[in-house]
Amino acid sequence: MLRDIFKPGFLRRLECLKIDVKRVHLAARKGGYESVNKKGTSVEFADYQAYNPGDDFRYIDWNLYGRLNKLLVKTFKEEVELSVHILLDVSLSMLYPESDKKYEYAKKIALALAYIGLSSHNSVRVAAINSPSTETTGRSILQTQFFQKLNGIFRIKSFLDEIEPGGEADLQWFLSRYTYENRGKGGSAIIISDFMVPPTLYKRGIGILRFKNYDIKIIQVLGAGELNPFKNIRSGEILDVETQERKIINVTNSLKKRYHALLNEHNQELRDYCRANNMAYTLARTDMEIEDLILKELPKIGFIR
Amino acid sequence: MGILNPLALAYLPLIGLLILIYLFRKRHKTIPVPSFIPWRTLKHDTIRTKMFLADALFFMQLIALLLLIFFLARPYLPSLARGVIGKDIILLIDTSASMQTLEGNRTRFQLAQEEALKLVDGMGVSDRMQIITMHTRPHILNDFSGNKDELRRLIRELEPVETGNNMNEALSLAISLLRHLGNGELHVLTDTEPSHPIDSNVRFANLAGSSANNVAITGLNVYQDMFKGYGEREAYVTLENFSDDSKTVLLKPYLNQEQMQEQVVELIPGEDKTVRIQDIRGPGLLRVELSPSDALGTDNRAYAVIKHIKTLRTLVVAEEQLFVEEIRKIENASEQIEFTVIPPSSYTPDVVKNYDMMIFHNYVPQEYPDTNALFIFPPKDNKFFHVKDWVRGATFIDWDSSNPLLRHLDYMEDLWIYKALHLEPSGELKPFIMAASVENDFPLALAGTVHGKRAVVLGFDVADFNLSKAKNMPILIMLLNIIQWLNPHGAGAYQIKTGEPFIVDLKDQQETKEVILVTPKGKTVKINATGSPLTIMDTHNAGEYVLKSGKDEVRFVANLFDEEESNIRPTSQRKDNMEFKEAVTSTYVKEKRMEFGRYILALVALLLLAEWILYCLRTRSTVT
Repeated sequence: MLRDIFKPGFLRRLECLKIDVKRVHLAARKGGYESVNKKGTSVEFADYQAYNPGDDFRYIDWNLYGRLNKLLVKTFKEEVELSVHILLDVSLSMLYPESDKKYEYAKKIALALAYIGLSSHNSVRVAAINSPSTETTGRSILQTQFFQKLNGIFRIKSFLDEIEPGGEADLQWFLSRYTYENRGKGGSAIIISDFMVPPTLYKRGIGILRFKNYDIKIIQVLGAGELNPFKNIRSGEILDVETQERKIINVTNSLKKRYHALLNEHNQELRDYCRANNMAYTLARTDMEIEDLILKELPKIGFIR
Repeated sequence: MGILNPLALAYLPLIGLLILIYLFRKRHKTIPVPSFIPWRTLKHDTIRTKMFLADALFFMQLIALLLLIFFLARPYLPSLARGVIGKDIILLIDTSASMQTLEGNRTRFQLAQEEALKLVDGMGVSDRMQIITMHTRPHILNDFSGNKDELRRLIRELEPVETGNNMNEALSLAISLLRHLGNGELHVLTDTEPSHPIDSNVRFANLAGSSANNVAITGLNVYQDMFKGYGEREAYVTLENFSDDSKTVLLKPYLNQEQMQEQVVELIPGEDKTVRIQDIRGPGLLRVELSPSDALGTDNRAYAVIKHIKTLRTLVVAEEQLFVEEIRKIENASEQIEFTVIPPSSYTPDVVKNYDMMIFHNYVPQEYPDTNALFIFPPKDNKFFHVKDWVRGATFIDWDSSNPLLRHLDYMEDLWIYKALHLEPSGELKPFIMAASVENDFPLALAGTVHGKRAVVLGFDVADFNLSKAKNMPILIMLLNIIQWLNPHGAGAYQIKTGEPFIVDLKDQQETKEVILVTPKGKTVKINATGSPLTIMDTHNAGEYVLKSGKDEVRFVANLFDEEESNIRPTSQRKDNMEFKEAVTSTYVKEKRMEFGRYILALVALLLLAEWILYCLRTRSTVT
């Protein structure tokens, strides 16, 4: 099944990767899946600290005591389970421009990241970012359960295949709802979307994740047809597929320049917001090979390692 | 205001088309986009948002369309225009030889020029004039013009020529032009009169005055056929007295500027005499002059070309000894003929280039000779002439006395032809002698051109006639005529009347691009010669003309020899004004229609420019 989408060699390479985490996370259960810089009981050395009464004297470093005449105890990293939340935008905008195939590309990214997560024994959940009006399944939020084993990837794929994109992506409502339903299950949240929503909206939504102490990673999916839509357009009526708003345009050089400026400005604002809030961000162009994105681009920015 | 082309209003339904275009353009292609975020500051294009929004652009286009239809309808503003209808004057000036007649101390031509200048001075501001000269041909000098300075210049630059006058042709032309004029008049400045009555508005100016003092040379002929030596050549000068008094004139002949023996000739009024000039010792230019001078000097001199005597080298291809003996008698009769006899077996085509002409007896070569040739009694199975039959016993029954081959020939019917050929005319070869046998009549002799060379075919055998006998003299004369006609040096006349074209075949003309003509006045004219023959039209002056083409040089002379021109006596029938009614300059008032369509067209252009600018501004404003 997965080999229909990914080459076997690519899958083998995914198995060697791990999703990088920058924050300490609360885990649902202990399992030794991820070590964090928190005093713990793993065998991975973390640091020294002064001996306090009550500390386990087995961890006193007697060698250092001999040299420094101070009682120091070794501390070890605590191994906690990492929950990976892959949040995929399934709004109608992900289907346009049709030639870009943004949704197909985003699905592949989600699958690849889920595979990486499951390969490194993380708990992985995939959810579809929708709006309150979505009536696809009758549930308010479309999401999978948490999978820890690699075979969970097939269920995730089936989940993604069943989704039909539609409606608007109400990030604020969705993330508020999602964090409520996943309370106590923080971890790494990867948002895959074109982010073609007003900055105030996505900022409010992401702010909720930040408040819940998620390690947030942003993947903005855009295609060549969106970055330069003027190849085959002279004039016509543009239709916002989500809001059904219409405008009549006549393509001029000044219009082209203005469009590119606005798009760059919008993307730059998202990029700046991520940087300011210590969130990993990458722009995934659909004309880039998925293998190149996962294996080359994401490790460069510390998204995975 | 009115319109000249109401049919243009049929374009008005185009306004509906404009509206339809607007409606049609609303149906835009819908382009789905993921979000309006990158488009968010674009203003809605209000120009074409609604189904039909009649905005400024639409109205500008509508006005432009209406104006365009208005332009096509050719609108005009009526007004009353006052104008002056001037006279259109046709001035016909005689420039023929007689116009050089002296009337007092001025020639008739100078009087004509003064008269013409007076006419120009009297022209009103709206009057126009066209000048036509007439001599052997009429020549229109200018289009109708009111520019007096230009007209004066044209009149002053006119010069008389030494030719006759074809007044009827010139008058026909001028009168046909006059008939097309609304307010025209024709002035003829001449010293002669038309040969038939004129029913148009023509004014003849009398320039003939009273001069009648003229003795003219009306002819100069030199007898110089190829059988005459220089000493045997004679010139005959014809003189005529057109004066009212008896005249005694001195005739002075010159050969190449060297004066010969002068003669005194007395002529009573109206008498003509012919004077013989002998002792012409060599080739060149013979000039004859009369003295004392009289009122018309042009006809007091005449010219003739004395040709070079050149031996005619003739190749005779014959085997029969009897024929050779007879043909030798012709050679013995003239020092200017040289016969070379060879048998047919020795003949080759290359040998032709060394001779001026050929005589073939009972033989026709396989390849046609590249020269003039006489074929006597050709064999029946030859390649070029069709011999239908042999005929035994025939007589000459018909011949063309005007044919140069048969000059001076009479009594040929007395000759009996023992054996004859029934020749068939073909191509350029035409019969010039017919013979009769007991059975039928048939062509006996043919002449014409074959492959561009002159050819004569005789269907009887000269060897059958003893040319020493008197009764056979016509055959001898005919043979001499034929030899003269075939002689390439004897062809062509080198004397013409002034104004006549001179036609000449130049040997090298195919290769020569430029021919130079030196006129009697010493003027050199370059002529681009193409093809052959060459025709020289500019022969308006009497005297010697020299034509130079490569190494060739041809001299010819032109003489007036026109009794009508020499007869300068005023005619009693001439009327000064033949029912002439002077055209009147008049003013008129008429409705004038001033079309102003071009201003509308300019307005349309401006409107469309403004519409385009407005459209560009709006388009730009959609992104600001």
